[in-house]
Amino acid sequence: MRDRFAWILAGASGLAVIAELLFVRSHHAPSLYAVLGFASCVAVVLLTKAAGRAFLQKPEEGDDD
Amino acid sequence: MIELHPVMPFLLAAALLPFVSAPAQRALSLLAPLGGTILVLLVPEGTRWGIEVLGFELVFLRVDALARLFALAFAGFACVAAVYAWREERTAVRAAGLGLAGSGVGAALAGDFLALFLFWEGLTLGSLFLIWSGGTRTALAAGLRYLYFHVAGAACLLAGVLLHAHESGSTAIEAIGLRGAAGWLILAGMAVNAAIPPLHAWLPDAYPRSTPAGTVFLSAYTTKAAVYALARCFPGEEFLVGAGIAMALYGVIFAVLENDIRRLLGYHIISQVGYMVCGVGLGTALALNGTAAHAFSHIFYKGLLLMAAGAVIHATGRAKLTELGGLGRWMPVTLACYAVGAFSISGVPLFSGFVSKSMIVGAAGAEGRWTGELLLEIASMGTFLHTGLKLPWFTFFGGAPAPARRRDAPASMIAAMVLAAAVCVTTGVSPEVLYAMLPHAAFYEPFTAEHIMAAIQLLLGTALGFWLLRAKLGGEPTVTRDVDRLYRRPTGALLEALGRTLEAFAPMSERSGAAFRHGWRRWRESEMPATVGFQAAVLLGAMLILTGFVLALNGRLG
Repeated sequence: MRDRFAWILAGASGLAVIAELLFVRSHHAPSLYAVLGFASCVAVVLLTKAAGRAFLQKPEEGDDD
Repeated sequence: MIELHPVMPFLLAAALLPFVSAPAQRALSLLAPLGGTILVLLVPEGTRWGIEVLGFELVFLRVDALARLFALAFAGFACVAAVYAWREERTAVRAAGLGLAGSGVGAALAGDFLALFLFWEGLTLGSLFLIWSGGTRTALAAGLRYLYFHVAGAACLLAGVLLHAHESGSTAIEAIGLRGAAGWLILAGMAVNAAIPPLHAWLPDAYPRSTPAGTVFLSAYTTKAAVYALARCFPGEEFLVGAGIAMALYGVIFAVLENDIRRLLGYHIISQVGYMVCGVGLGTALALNGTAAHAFSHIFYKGLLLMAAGAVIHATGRAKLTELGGLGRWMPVTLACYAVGAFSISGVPLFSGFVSKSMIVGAAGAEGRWTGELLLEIASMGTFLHTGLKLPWFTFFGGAPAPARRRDAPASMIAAMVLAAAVCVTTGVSPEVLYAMLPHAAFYEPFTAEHIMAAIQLLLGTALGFWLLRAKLGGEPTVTRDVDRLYRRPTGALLEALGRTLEAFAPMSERSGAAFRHGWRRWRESEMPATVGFQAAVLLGAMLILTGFVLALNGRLG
C-alpha cells in the first residue's frame, strides 16, 4: 500500500511535468518545482532530524520553566 | 464624517464586560467587533483625527488604503474569534481578546509614533492576559518571559521614537529607514513584535500556553501589527529581505522537530511573517501589495488552523502528536476546515495563500533575486510538509486511541471555523476583492498556467517526500532547544529568588490584619500580581534609563 501510494504520487508528479512541457511556456527548467519539492523535503527532514538528535532536542521530562 | 473611532467599540465593550451578565457578555463580545468592522469600512480615506497632549499631537486616526486593509483584517477576524470564544466563561479572556483586537485596529489606524506606541503597549497587555488565561504555572512563566521581551522591545521602540522626534522634529509614522541609531532602535522594537529571529522565541513559547480561544486571538495581532509598522517605516530596506527569508526557513526547520500542535503552528507564524518581512524589504509596489495581501490572508488561515487545533484540544485534552491520531472519523467538520486552512497556507490554487504569498515570491523573482525566490519556495515546501501533511496526518489519521468525546467540536467553534474557511476560499477564488483594497497600483495575475503548474508540482513533490519519510516525521516526546533556553534558567532563578524573598515576609504579613492576610494568601496562591508589579517597575525603570542613555549618547542632553 505504501509503495503503491508512493507510485501514485510519483506518477502524478510525472504527469504534471509532462503537462508543463506540453502546454506551459515556463521561464524555468521543466520539472524544476517537482524536483525542488521532493529534494528539499528530503533534505530538510533528514538534516533537521540529524541536527535534532545531535543538539536541538532533549527529552520532555524535567522540562518547563 | 465619522463620529466614533473604530477602536471605541472594542474598548468600551472590554470595559463594560465585568459589569454585565454572561449572555450580555457574549453579545457584547460579538457586537463590538462587528461595530468596529463597520466603522473601519465607513471611515473615509484621508480622515485624520488627533488630540494635543503636552505639546505633542497624538494622531489616533489616519486612514489610507494600507491602514484600512490591516484594520479591516484585525476587526473582521475579531468577529470570527468572538464566535469561536462564544462558550468562553472567563470575563478576563473576553476582555483581553477585545482589548487585543482593539489595540491592533488602533495600531493600524495610528498616524503618529506616540499613538502607535500606546496601542503597541495595548497589544502587549492584551496578549499577556490571554497567555495567563491558560491558568497553569507554565502559562504564568511563559507570560512573564513574554513580558520581558516585549517591554524590552517597547523600550527600544520608545527610545528610537524619541530620538527620531528629536532629530527630525516629527513623530509622524513615515518611512524613516536605517540611517542612524533612531532607525535601528525602532527596528529592534518592531523586530521583537514581528518575531524576527533571534528575537522570536516568545512566540512558540507563549502562544500555546493560552486557552484554545486565547491562542486564536493571539495569532492575529501582534506580529501583523509589527509587519504593518515595518511596511510604514522600512520599505525597501535590504536588511529585511535577508531577515524575512531567514524567518521563513527558520520556522520550517523547527517545525520538523515539534511535537506540540500549537507550537508547530506557532513556528509557522514565524515562517509566514517571514514572507511579509521579506516583502517589506523588497519594497517594490508588488512586494508591498503582497505583504499587505498576505497579512490579510494569514490572519484568517492561521486563525483557522489554530481554531481547528483548539477544537482538537477541546475534544481530547491532548496537544501532542505522540498522543493524537485517528480523529478524522470523529471530527470530520474540524478536519475539513483544517484542510481549508492548510491548503490556504500551503498555496494550493483556489485558496487564499496562492493569491497572496505568490505576490511576494513573484516580486523577488521580478527583481532578479533568484536565490531569494528559491529559498522562499523551499520554505513554501516546508509549510505544506508540516501544516498540510505532518500535522493532519498524525492528528486526524493513524491508529491512536479514540478520543473520550466521540463527537466534533461545539457548534460555536464549528461556526467560527466555517466562517474563517469561507474567507480563505472566497479570497482564493475571487482575489479581485482583496486586490482592490491594496495600497499600490501594481498589476498581478495569480492564475497563470505557469504559476498553477509550479504550485502543483511543488505540492506533489513534497507529498511524495512526506510519504516516503513519514515514519521519521511523527512526533517524538522531546522538547526543542530554541534560543529561549539561553534565558529560561536566569529568569527562572529570578522568580525563585523573588519567591523566597517574599516568603521571608510572610510572618510579618500574618500579623497584619485580616484584609492584608487575605491579600497575602491570594498573592501566594497566584504569585502573579506582586511578581508582575515588581517586574513592571524594574522594566519601566530600565526603559527610562535606556531612553536617557540613548539621548545622552547622542549628545542631546545637557
